Amino acid sequence: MPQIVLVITSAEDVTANLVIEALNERQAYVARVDPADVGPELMFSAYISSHRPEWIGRLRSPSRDIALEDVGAVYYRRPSPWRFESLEKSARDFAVTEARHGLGGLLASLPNCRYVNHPANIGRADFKVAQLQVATRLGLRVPATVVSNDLDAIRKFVVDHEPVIYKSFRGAPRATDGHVAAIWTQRITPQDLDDSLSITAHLFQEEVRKTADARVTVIGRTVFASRITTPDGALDWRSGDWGELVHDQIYVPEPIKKALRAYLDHFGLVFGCFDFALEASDNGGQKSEIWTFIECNPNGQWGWLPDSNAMADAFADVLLEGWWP
Amino acid sequence: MSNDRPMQPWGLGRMTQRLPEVLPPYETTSFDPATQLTRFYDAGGAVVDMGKGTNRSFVTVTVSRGGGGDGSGGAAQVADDSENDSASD
Repeated sequence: MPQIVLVITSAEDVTANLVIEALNERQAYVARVDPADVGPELMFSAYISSHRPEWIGRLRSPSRDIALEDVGAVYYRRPSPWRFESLEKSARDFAVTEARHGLGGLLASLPNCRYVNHPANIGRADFKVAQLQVATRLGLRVPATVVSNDLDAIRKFVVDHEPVIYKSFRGAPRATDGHVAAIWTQRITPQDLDDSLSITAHLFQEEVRKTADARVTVIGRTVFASRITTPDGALDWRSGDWGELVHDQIYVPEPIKKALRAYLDHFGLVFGCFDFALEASDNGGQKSEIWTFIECNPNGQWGWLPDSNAMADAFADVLLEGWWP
Repeated sequence: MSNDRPMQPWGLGRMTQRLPEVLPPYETTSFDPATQLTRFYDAGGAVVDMGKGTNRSFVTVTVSRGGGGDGSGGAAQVADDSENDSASD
């Protein structure tokens, strides 16, 4: 009988706290585990054979000793990077890869278990290129986009579609010296382009003349949506002071809601954070808004949104749905 | 491309200036075995309510980003809600 919710995340994850509180209110039994703790602090053992055709075994943290087959749901949040700090480089690389496949693979293969979200599906849905393809197939409007390392192709795109923005796929590289940096979405001109584009992949999009952004968070069948405006009309709302963002409730048109559910189904996701750009449209005095799909983060942050308490409840409900008495 | 600088991908040239990391609003943490909740404390040992205002957005936005799909992702402290994945095997 399943009876446990396994929460896979780092110790410092405040957002997981919100969901664990909601699970505790429902008297669910929660085991919070960070796979990077593997070692004496996190021991595991799992067994499978033709006679025991599904993984059985145990997972032991300092505060929990659970049977893997009792896990009814996994809330996969933000586990720490693997550590193994005491090992020298090649031993560390070996330990990381083996742990990723052995422990990570096991935690992604628990029998009869609901995943919110399954890490492999998060991985698949993380590719912006795949996101845009699925979004257009579902009838969502997307900005004209070029992905290339070819200066001529990129220059032609920029000239044809000005104004154009550049956006990195995964953000700035990790710094190790106590500094941080970011690559914000930014407007560029043909003069900004040069041969160093050929070194790697770059993504450019026509700029949507947006009046606001919309963040639509889908958790199970529940849809939460905020219109986000910045005091200075910034192109990338993440670049400013998050405390100054204005969030207003917004109604999501039914065809878009339908497309978002189909989008999540396509990638096998239960939860997704969708970003849209909103454009004002005046159709013969009939004011409306055009929604343009920007991206979907399958493991996005939501703890900062005004609805976050209700979202935590929605996570608890979707985790427990169908198996919790 | 100028010749007096090391070659780097065009996109990296669009990076912001490097800024000092913002310090988290807590100094230490403890783990409550009964509830499986992490508690956060300031330097004086007082409990920090991470659910409140800027504390909540600090942690959910700027630091809690470890973990790619497989737990191998970077934990860089950047005000960016997507994860980078510089440490995959």
